[in-house]
This record gives sequence, C-alpha cells and structure tokens, in this order.
Amino acid sequence: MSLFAIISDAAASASDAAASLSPILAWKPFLQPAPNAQHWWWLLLIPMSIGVSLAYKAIRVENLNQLPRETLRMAAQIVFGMIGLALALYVLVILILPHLPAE
Amino acid sequence: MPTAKETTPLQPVAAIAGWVFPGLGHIVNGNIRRGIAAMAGVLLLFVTGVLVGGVDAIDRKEDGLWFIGQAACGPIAFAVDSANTAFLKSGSAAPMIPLPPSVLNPQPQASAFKGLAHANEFGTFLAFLAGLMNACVILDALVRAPRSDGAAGSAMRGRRADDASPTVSANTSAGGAA
Repeated sequence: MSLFAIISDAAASASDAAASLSPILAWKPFLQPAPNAQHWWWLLLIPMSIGVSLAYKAIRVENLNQLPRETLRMAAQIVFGMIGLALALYVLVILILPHLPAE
Repeated sequence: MPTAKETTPLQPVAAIAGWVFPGLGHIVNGNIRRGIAAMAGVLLLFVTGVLVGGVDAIDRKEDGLWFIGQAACGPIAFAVDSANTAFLKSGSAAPMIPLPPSVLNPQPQASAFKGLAHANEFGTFLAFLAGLMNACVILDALVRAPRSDGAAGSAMRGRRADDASPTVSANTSAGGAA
C-alpha cells in the first residue's frame, strides 16, 4: 500500500469520526433528543436500575447507613437479571426456534 | 397495648409536599437523609429521561396515558410539559417540519427537535418510571413517623419509624438491658 493510500485512509477515517461527532457537538441537551440513541439505548439500563434502586431502598432500608450497599446490590440484581433474560431470549429465538418444524 | 397504627397518624402534609417535589415530604417531616436519598433516586430517573428524550419526552396531549404516571413527579412534570409547548410546539426552538396530511389535520407540522424512536421511547419511559417511584415515596411519607430518621426520632417508635441510627439503637438497647 502506498503512502498516499495510507494517508487517504487516515483522512477518510478522521472525516468519518468528525461526522459521527457532529450530531453530539450540535446537540442541545434537554431541548433536543439525545443523538444516535438507537446505538446506545441499552446503556440506559444502568441509570434506570440505579434510580429505581435508590428510590426504592431509600424508603425500605431500616438503617440508612446500609443504603449505598443495598442500592448497589439491587441495581446489580436488576442489571444481571436483564442480562440473564436477554441470554435466555437469545437462546430461544436464535438457537431453538429456527430448528423447530414450520408446522 | 397501643398498636403502631394508633401511635403514628397519617401525614397528609408530608404526602402533599412529596408530590410538590420528590423527597420533600420526608424532609418536611424531619427525615432529611431519607428524603434526600429518595429525591436523588427519583430525580436521577426524571432528569435522565428528559436528557435522553428532550422536553418532548413529556407531552400531556400526545402521550396522555404516559403523562398520568409522569404527573406523579409533581409540578416538575407539568413544567417540562409547558416547556415542550412553549419551545417545541410553538416552533421557537427549531423550525416546524410539515408532515403528511391526515383526515383530522390537513396541514400537520412537527418541530425538528421532536423526539422519535428510541430517544423518545426511553425518555418517556424513564420519566414515567420516575413518577411511579415518586408515588411509592409519597405513600411512604404518608405513613412514616416524623423525625424517625435519627437521634431525634429514636423515642418516636411507630409505624415505619424503624430507621434510627445504629448508635442510638445500640445505646437504647444497652440502657434497657442495664
């Protein structure tokens, strides 16, 4: 590969990266929906699980000194439970269902 | 012997305060740490929802059923809905885009900042979840004994007055045993 081709590839990659960043740089938080949410929506499981756990454990724990530990434990249970459900559904839909007879 | 229900009356003022702002009901009742923790949890969900979906995540007219749950967050949900109307639906924040006409609306338009697909769905859902959790927090503020969150509430044992600090509990137990 010639030096020119390498430089051209690098320039194209940089251009693609800049193009992918431009929606984020132009984003107006709280006014405009978050850009490219279809690519990272699954990461919202983390703030969701922490928020639900914190609000729930805040009214359930007897001793508030246990709140951080209990919150993290419940959040982890939610996240790993979701991962387990995802794996189970993957096995069912991708691995088992295609092998079943059509009728 | 009096029951816990008799010793701790309901706290309607705390419940109303809890609706006015998440966690405020506990704070008004003197359970400050618990109120701040509940406030943090509910606001984390609500702010994340509005951050992901924009103010369009809360729409009283177009997403009426979702708004029933979101309204449990209190005035902040109505404020975001008002911001949606003021900034997006009026066209002041972004240009309006014409949509395909329908029977009911021959010239429909939508803001260029209107949330679609994943962003709108998860923004709406997270704000809805914040409302549901705040409903739980409000119910807890309604039945929890005032100032039961620390040393000041150690003598006010009653319904849900079970969150005194461990130091106070240990001292009380030691004194009782002696």
